[in-house]
Amino acid sequence: MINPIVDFIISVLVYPGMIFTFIIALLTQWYYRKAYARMQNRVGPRFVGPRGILQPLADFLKLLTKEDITTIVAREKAPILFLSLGIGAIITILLMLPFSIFPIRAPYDIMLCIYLALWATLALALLGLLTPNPFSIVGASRLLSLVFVYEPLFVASLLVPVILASRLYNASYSIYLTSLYSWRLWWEPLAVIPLALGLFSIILTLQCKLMLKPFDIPEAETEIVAGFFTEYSGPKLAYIITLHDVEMVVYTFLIVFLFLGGPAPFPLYSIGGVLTIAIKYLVVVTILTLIKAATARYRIEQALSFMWKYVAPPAIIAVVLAVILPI
Amino acid sequence: MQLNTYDIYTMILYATLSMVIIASSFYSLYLLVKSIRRVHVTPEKIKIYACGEDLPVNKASVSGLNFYWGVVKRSLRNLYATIRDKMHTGILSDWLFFMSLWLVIIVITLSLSAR
Amino acid sequence: MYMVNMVENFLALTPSLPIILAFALPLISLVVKSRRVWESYTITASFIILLLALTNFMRVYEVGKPLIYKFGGWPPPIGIVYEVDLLGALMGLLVASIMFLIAIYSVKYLEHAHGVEWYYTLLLGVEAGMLGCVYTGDAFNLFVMLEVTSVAAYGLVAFYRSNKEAIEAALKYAIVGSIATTVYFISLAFLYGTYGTLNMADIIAKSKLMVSPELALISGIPVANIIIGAAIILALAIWAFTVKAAAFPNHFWLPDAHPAAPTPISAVLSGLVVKVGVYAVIRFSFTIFGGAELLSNVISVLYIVLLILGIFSAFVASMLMVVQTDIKRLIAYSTVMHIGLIFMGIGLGTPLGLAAAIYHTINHAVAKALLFLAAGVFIYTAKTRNIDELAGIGRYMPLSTFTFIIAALALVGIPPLNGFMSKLTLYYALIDAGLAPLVVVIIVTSALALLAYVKIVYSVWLKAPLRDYSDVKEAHPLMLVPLLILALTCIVLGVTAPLLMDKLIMPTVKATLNSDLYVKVALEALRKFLSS
Repeated sequence: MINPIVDFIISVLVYPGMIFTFIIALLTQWYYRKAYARMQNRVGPRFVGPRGILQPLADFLKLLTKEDITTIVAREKAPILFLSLGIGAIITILLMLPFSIFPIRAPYDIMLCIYLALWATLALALLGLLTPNPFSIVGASRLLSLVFVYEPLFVASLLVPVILASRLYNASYSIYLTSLYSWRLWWEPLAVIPLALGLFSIILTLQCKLMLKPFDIPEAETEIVAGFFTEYSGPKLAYIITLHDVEMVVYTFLIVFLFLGGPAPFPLYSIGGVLTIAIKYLVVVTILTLIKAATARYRIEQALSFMWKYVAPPAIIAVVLAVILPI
Repeated sequence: MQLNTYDIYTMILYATLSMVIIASSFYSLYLLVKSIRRVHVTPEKIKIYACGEDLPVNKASVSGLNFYWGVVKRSLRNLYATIRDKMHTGILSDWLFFMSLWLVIIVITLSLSAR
Repeated sequence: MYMVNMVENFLALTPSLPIILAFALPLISLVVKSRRVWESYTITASFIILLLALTNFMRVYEVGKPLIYKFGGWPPPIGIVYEVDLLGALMGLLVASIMFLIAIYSVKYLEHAHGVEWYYTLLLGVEAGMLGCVYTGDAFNLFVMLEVTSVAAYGLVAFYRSNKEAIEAALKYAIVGSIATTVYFISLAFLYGTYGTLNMADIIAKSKLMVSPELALISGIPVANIIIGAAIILALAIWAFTVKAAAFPNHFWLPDAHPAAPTPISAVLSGLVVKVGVYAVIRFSFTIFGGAELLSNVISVLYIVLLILGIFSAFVASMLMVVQTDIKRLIAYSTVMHIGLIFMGIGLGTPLGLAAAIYHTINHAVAKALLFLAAGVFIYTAKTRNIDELAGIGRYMPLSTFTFIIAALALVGIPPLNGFMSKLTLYYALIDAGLAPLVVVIIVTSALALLAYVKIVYSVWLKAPLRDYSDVKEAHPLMLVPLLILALTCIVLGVTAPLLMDKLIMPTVKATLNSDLYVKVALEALRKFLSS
């Protein structure tokens, strides 16, 4: 609007970039902590701010101002470097969605989105290895074993609506255009089957990717102390929690826009649209929290075989159907 | 709200630029915070955490063989038994067996398609 | 006119000069015993060859059509010609530049080895063979140059003569490689029997049933059924090339040969020699036999076979990468995996797939050479190849570790490095051809490869050191400067991807698929000879 460069900087830093995502991440954290607590008959955050809504911010600021202890053979600045790059990569995905003020799109940018998500995984994996502690190394190796299973399924599930939209509405495999047309996919009788299978598999894959129970194996508390972030305290722990929440925000937005149709019956910049997006977003977060509250932790080989037996067939069948169905 | 369509390669550069901008903001926030609060180092604090025991530094690691224990020794054990132990034996005649199998396959496939 | 003639002479000089210099080096070493002289001789020689290859490339790029050099003045179907189009010139430039950096690196790496004059001889010989392979326009000459490359490579693998593992690996490589070139020779016999000629341009003309009185005068019309003949020729020749390029069932020699060789030679073998096999497959399946409508059934089945080959290669190699304990063997399996990806690009048969394959060839050569050379710095300092024993050595050599990490990230395919750009083109090509499930297969293999790369980065950089490394300093500048140049190239090739795709890769693809132009240039040379 004003000037392309200023537009770009504002959209990267303010909306929907860093500050907006950070605020939504804090609110999401409050919501799922409250929901998780109520599911376990506890109270959840209560005192800081009205109904505890400022609790995540308080936690972030507290951790940020604590001492940053580095053990004798650990790297001091490298974890922060990788964490910052991971957070930056994840927030960049939001620039490709329709609600950005400077939406950048290109044909086939779905692959760019997937590889930006890989930066966050790499940051978390290297995090455990950057401090030589037997617990953190075991946590990191478990994280990488899970990556080998959930990354292809995540890609397969994300590709399903993109391929369907590109074949039907000429969306040229771009996230932006797919999100404009994704609500119409539910009305196509043949496209509903792969789309439903894809939705099922992406919810479970996200459970694995965000390391929520039953897949919180890399950070298996009390089994390997704290898993891959055992030695981290202070600002580094604050960034790890921020990365986790920002991942949850961005992937949930991806599901809402690519699978559930975004602000479906209403146009995007209207009260109805914003409310619809918020409701769909909270529904997805509630489903993730529900599965988290209702299950216990898997062992690593149980998790791998669960994913390959029950989540891989729907995802792969969905992709194959999306390519070969006669529409 | 202008809609900017680029080709995919230019878009990667834009995405990298935005990633670097956000990463540097978080990194500078860290540097700012670190300059405010100094760490008071004591020998106990900087030891490796091993649930209260003494762990010498060179034992605080996992050997390369056991690194992906869950994948290699449990989940994909059968697959590795086939590929690693039966196929990649290192014996030259086994190699030549597989290579000739492939030669036969490619010759028959291409000859059958010659119409 | 004179400039054009001189550059066409460079086309022949570029492979012949290293052979002459290679054979001169043992004679010089009988008289002059100083290592410095041999080393500076080799570095000067490879620098001159780099300049020649660069001139060739720029000239071919400017002119826009293949340049041709007739050996002995004899025109195409009678004599041997070197016909260099954009693909050949690009591969030649890649070979010459990486060989130059490796020659500089070898000076310091082999400073304590014996018999190093033979090393430099064979190094120049390998370079000559590779340049001859990519420049030649004659199928039999390709056989000769392939043998030159292979024999020099067998010798270089066995360089550590007192190490039984190296001798065994070299013998196995030699046996498998000789079988491959023999099978290629059999396919040449079929080629001559079917077509009556061995010149590539002439074969294209006869396959496309082009009517040309000059060619009919010299080499006659084909004597046998072209379709079944081409099927047998392609089957045998592509089999032979997949041995050289190390694709799945023919890859068994690679994980033994590449670790046993000295590290600069591992970089040459993994980065350049296997690419010559890939180049030969591209030349045969796209330029020579690809354009003919008569053979379209055979060619489409060949593409499907290559695609399946690529998938199996990538999958088996990435699975085995995860369980290795020898750092060079792990990197060697990674080569097999990436060759699998390149074959997937070739096997799509579309221009975009070919662009992905060519771009990945360049990127993989640079990144793999960098990975091997950086690992070589660590192996040279710690004198071991075992991942557990190399623990923590990277902490004391920050620049080398930085380049090592850049190479590993480039091979995993992280934006914005070069490996990501070519993998993206491959995904683009796969989705365009309607094969989206294969994207998921590639992601599985990339995830397995990520596991392996994290293992070596962890072991080299982040693990607590086992020994006392306090006297270890940064790598010597002669080893460090090639590493930094290659790392810079990785980043530049990634960041300038829009420019590269537009101005370099797509013209190369067009030139490879433009077999009519290839024939036209050869026919012009023949006509000029007949009319004079």
